[in-house]
Order: sequence, then C-alpha cells, then structure tokens
Amino acid sequence: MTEATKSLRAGTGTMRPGPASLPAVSLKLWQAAKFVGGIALTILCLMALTFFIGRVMPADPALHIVGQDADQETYRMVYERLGLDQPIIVQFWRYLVQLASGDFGVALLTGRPVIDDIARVFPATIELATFSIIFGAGIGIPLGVVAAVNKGKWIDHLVRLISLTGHSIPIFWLGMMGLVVFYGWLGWLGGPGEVDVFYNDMVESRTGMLLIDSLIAGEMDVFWNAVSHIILPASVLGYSSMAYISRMTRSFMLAQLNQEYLITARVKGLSESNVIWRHVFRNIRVQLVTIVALTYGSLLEGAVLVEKVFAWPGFGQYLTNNLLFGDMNAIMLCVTLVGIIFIGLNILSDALYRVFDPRTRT
Amino acid sequence: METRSRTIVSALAGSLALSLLCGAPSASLAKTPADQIVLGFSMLNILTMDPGAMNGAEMEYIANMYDYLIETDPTDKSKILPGLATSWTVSDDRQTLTFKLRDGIKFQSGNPLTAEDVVWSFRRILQLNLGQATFWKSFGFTADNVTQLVTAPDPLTVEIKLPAPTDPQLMLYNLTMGGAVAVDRKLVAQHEKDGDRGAAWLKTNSAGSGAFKLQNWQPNNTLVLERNADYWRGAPKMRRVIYRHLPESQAQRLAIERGDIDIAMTMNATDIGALKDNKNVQIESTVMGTVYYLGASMKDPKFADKRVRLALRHLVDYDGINNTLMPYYGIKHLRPIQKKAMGSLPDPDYKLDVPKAKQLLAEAGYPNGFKTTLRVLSDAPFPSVAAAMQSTMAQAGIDAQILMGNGEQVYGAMRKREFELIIGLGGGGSDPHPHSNLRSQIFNPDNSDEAKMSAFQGWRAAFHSPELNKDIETALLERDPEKQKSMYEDIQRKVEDVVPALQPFSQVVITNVVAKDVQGYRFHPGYTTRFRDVAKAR
Repeated sequence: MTEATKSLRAGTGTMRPGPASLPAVSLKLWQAAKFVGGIALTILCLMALTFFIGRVMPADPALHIVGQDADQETYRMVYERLGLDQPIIVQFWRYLVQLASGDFGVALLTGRPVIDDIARVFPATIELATFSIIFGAGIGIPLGVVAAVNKGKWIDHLVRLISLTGHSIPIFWLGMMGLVVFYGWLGWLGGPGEVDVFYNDMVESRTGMLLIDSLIAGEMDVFWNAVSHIILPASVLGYSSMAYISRMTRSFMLAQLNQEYLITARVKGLSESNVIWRHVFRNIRVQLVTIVALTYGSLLEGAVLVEKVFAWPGFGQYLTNNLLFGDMNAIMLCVTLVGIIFIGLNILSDALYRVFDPRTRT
Repeated sequence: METRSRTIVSALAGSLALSLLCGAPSASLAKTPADQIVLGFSMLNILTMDPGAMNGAEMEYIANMYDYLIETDPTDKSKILPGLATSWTVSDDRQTLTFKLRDGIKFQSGNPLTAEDVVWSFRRILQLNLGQATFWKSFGFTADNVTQLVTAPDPLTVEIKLPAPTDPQLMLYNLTMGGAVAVDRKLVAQHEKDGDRGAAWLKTNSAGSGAFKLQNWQPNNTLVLERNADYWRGAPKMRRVIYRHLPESQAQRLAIERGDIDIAMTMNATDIGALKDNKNVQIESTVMGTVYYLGASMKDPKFADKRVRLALRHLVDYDGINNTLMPYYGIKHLRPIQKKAMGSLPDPDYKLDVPKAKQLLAEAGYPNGFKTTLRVLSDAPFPSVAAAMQSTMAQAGIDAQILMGNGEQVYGAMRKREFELIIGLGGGGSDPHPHSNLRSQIFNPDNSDEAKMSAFQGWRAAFHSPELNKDIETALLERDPEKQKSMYEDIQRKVEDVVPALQPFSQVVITNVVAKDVQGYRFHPGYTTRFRDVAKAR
C-alpha cells in the first residue's frame, strides 16, 4: 500500500512528520524521497508478484507460436529462445535488466514493441472510460442525491431499482441486447468496433483517440461515425458505474442529512435546494471524488467483456489475450501501467481532498 | 426478467434520445463499399505475417500476399494447378522435382522474381527453424542439407531433391500450402537486422508477388489487404480486403444482417442456423481433411487394454452427436483417412451399444467402470460433445470428469502425454494425401517418452503398432496407384481390428455466411482462400 493509499484510507493528508532533528528543507527532501521510494517499492512488488503469478499459470507461449502439430525440436528452440527453460527468478532478473536498459520488450502476440501496442490500445480505452464516467457520474450523482432527499418515497425505490438492475445484470448481456435493439433492429447506432471499417485509417493518428483525431483532421464523417459507435458501449459501461455511484451518493447524503447543522441552515431560512446543494452536497464532495476516481481507474483498466462484445480495440482485451497467452513482456507493462494509474488517481484525489476540505490543509 | 429488461431498454432509450436531441445526426450506416470485401473473423490466433513462421491460422493472408509454385483447386483439392511454376516434372527415380517458372513475374516492389528467390525462401524456413520447418523436416530436410537439395540451376528453374524415398505427390501437395511461397529477398535484405533474414520485419510487413499487399494490420482489430494493381495474373477486382476482428459470434451475425460485413467466418452453429431463411445471405459449408476424434492415452494401463478401447468405441452416440451437435461443424466420419482421398472407405458400422461395452469392461476387469478425465477445448462444439460422451460413458459406469481449457492447455497436456481422455481436432489431412492422416493419427516411429515425437498424435497417445508403421511406409512408396489405393484400404481395415488410441467421430466442416452479392468466393479446404477473382454484383 502506498503512502497515498494509506492516507486516502485514513482520510487525512499525506505528509507525516519525518525525523524531528532534521532542518526544514532536508525534512521536505526526506519526505519527498520517502514518497517516491514508496511508489517505486510498490511498483517493484507489483511487478514481482505479477511475474511469478504469470509464470505459474498454465499458459505456454512457445506452443502457441509454433502450433500444436510442430515437432519437438522446433518447439524446444522457441521455448529456449523465450528463456522459458530458465528458473523463474532468472527470468525475472533478465526482465529487470532488459527494463533497466529502457527496453520494454516485444509482444509475442503482435510482434511489435509492447510500448507501441499500449500506445495503440490505451487511447481507445481512455475514450471509452471517459465517456462512461461522464455518463455514470453525470447521472449517478444527481440520482443519488434525489433518492436520499426523498428517502422511502417512490422515487427512492425507483432509483434503487435502476441501480440494482445496473449492478446485477451481466454487462455482456446488456451490451448484446443494446446491439440487437439499437444496431440490429433500429439501426440508429453503429455496430461493433470503434468506427465503420472503411473509415479506418482515414485520419492521421495524433492522439490515438479517434474522436479527437477526426476533429483535428476536420473529418466530420469519421467523427460522427465514431460517435455513433461509442454511444452504446459507453452507455452500457456507464450504466453499471452509474449504479454504484448513485448508491454511494445516496448513503453519503443520508449520513449528512442527519447532522445538526442542517437545522441551523433551515432555521436561517435557506431554501431547501440551497440547503441540499450548498451545504449537504458540499460536504460529501470529498468522498464522491474518491469514489468517482476509483471507478474511473477501474474503467481505465479496460472492461474486457464490453470490449469483447463491441470488438473495441482497447486495453482490457489486449491484457486479457496476453494473460491467456502468457506473454510476460506485455503483461508486465500492462499491469505496471494499471498500478501507476491507481497510484496516480490516489495522489490526485489526495490533492483534491485538500482543495475541497480545508481541514486537511496543513 | 422481462420487466427488468424493459426498464433497461427504456433507460437506454432515454439516454439515447437525449444524445440524439443534442444534435448528433443519426449514424450514417453505410453498407460495405462495392469495391471492398469486409470479413468478420476472430483474429486471436493471428500472430505473424511471416510465411515461414506462421502456425496455420494466417495461411489465408499468406496465400493472398504471396504466390506458391503450385496451387490446389478449391473445388477439388487433389487437383494441382500452376502457380509461379507453369510446369513441373518428377524424375524417373522419383527423387527430383523440377519446376519451370513463368517468365517476367515481378514482386510488388518491382524486383524481378527468380528461382533464386524461391530457393532462398525455402532454405530460410529451415535455416531459421521457423514454425513451418516441421513439414520440411518430416521429409528429411535439415538446415544443413537444404542448400544441396533445394537449388536453382537457372533463373527460371527450381529443383528439389528429396532426401529420402517418398511419394512425390505428397511433396507436391505440401508445396501448395504453408510457408512454401516466394519471398522478395532483395526487399527483405534492406530490412535485415543482425542477420535475422528479415524475421522481425516480415512479422508485420509483406514482401510477396501476390494479388494483395499488406496495408495495415492492427492485431485483434483490423487487417487490411490492398490490391496489387500490377499483379501478373491481372489486377484483382476488389480494391481492398478487410478483416475485422469480431470475436463474438452474435456480433458477427448482427453485422452481416446489417450489411456491415460481407462474409462471416467464425460464427457458431446457433447463429448460422438463425440465418437459414435470410434472403440476403447464403450459408456455405466446406468439408476439410481434418477430423474430430476421441483419444485415449495408452500410457494409462486402463486404456492400454484393447477391450477398454473397444468399449469406448461402443460408448459414443455417433449419429446423435453428428445429427444434433455437429451441423455446420462436422459430418459423420469414423475412419482415419478423410473422405474422397485415395483409398477412403465408407464408415464402419459403429454404434452406441452400452450392454456390449459393459461386457467388454467386465472382461477387462472393470465391471463397475472407473473414474477418468476428459480434456476438451472450451469453444463450441467441444463442450456439448463432451457432455454427450460423458453421459453415454456414464451408462457403462465410466465417470469422466470434463476438464476444459484453451488450445495450449488441452493440446499441451496431450503433447506431454499427460492426459487420459481427450476430444481433439486434427489428425492430419491438411493435404489430400491419405498418408497425411495416417502419419498424424496412427504412425509412431518411436514410442519411448524420450523420443518426444509430439508432432505425431499416435505418439502422444502412446499408440504403437510396428506392423501398421511398416504398412504405412510401404504404401507411401508404392508406385502403382491401384495397388497403393488397395494398400490404404487394407490399412484401414486393419485399424478396425487393432483399435487405435484415436477414434474419429466427425470430419471437420467450415461454415461461412456470405452475402448474396459476393461473387467468385470459394473457401479453400486447404485454408488458402484467394480473393483475386472475388467481385461484387451491385
């Protein structure tokens, strides 16, 4: 657990006092070094764990490469070329040495540098995750507030029903049904994939995010086509995060609605909406930031099922395929990236804490 | 469930209406363009574009980007047609094959294609020990002898000397598939790194003389082939052939219904069946040379007993499985040699017969059956076939626990001889020569664990019959076609009595759904489907 995570859990700021004898400047340096060292150690542990788990999994990349009918000699050669005949610890050491020279390795499944692969698949996931979180938070938070304020009334039950459905319906089924209705029957939306296939390669890849690239290039055909393709997967994915966000918002709100400061506010004669939004909601912003950030983080990990149903060329499918295939070069970098995202989001929400909650400022 | 789904549909409809109101024009759902073919496909096994290093799934791209010396007819795969070679001859001693190349062929780069390129490409496979080396090694070629055996006496002649006696026809068939294509060695030389003969570059680029060139390949997303306007057979009619990764069968079905793809290649039977009455598509099935089989490991003392294997033979409901579970995947076939090949025989009369199986098991000392495991791939149709076999085996007391996994897990265990029962797919037959099936399923030159003959499914299952080995070798060398045919028939009759470790129950069928306006598309039973003559009637 990083410093950031610990402090997040504790709900306070990050910096703890270092050795008392140090002067103020080196104290700051000491804290910074501890902070960076903590992150580095976390990532190293994450990598070691991933490597060992990945290697004991029953996946055989060599067999996948040569095919099941290959003779033993060819198989053996590939097996040794991949270094699989070495003890795991040696393999891990070799990987670290290779990494130290700035080489992330080549993905066996695609034959390209892993870093290029990730640069290709990750933007697609960022697009999808961002749309989903906008949908999920944009609808989920107001729904949660409304439900809390109307606790026990029909509207509360309705919101509960909506979010329970979002939680409990398998997401691939929802995705499939969405495709059947809006793509198959009605033809309102684009089908699987990021864009209709013949629009592929029409815009130059600058950010890797098709929506942005097509806007930059001024190719509005491509842009609208891509929009029609992203609406369904983003709604399906956003729906399930909306369910979670609205439930959490409701319970945060309820905890605040029992507080005595509300009586003061109402006695002062503030309008009810003023009380709810300016007083109560303000106080739950900090908690909401954490929830939304973590949800966004898990969306960035990639949603394998949604990506599969919608043939979305994203990070989740890439990571899963490589896991099944046992390609450590790709798995290691992907998992490390996910680790860094979570650490980054934790730091970010720490920072936002301090913006929103004056008590945490030191 | 219904009210729930209605809630969701209305919720989704709400969000959708919102976004549409916000100004997004309704999506322009264009159909596939008239000059491009779009295929829906699961690309998970596409690893490389290097003809020498591919493991099989990539063959269709290779066949479109590169040219073989000779080809087989997609409607009759035993018929050999000219490719780069206009003629080919076999020497009287059946040891030398000579190919005369067409004059004036150029690679896509503009470099002239000569016999030197062909020879360089063939040698490269062995010298780098790439995946496709397995087939060359099976004839006795090695990295050392290939320079003497595969030569170019002049710029338009390729000569292949066979290292060991064999049926030259078998070699010819094998030259129509796999990695036996001409690679542009001058172009590759420009991209060579550390003496790798372009191994790194060829993985993601094409250097061929074929009708199409690789335009763009994004793994597990799209693969785009672009027309080679200067193709020596004449420019293809389609400007582009686009493969789209659609791993979900239902997504493929929706896409072909909507007209967003022209050919759906990896749909499951349920979805194919649902399109039976669709006027805009046709369902095309092609019988392949491989088989689905039930295999038993004879390393296991239970299955080493012939009576137990015979009992297994009577514990499969061949008709039931083939009629209800295998449509679009396979057709009933119970012998090792594929249908229509030389010496192929009608199916024997094997039937589900529980009392007989029970009696055989009792004789073998298992009156109450036994516990075992049944390994199987997790893709359709394997799980349902496994369940069917599990239930019929249970009737005779055999309690088979089903172990599902992916290809590496299931076949990896088999290659290491660490399995009991397996439902597999394979058994040779990629070429139409009967030897291909027998070599894979029955032949086993050395049964010791140390021999590691894992390319032979006979070895994997520890089935070893020196007599059948000898028969198979003799039949291969027989010069008189009539005699050779009857030898293959005899071998199959003998197989019936010996009860080998693998029992085929179905011959593989590949079923594609093709839009009505696609013309000239013919799926090739050797996986070398070519798009050079495909057109669209619009």
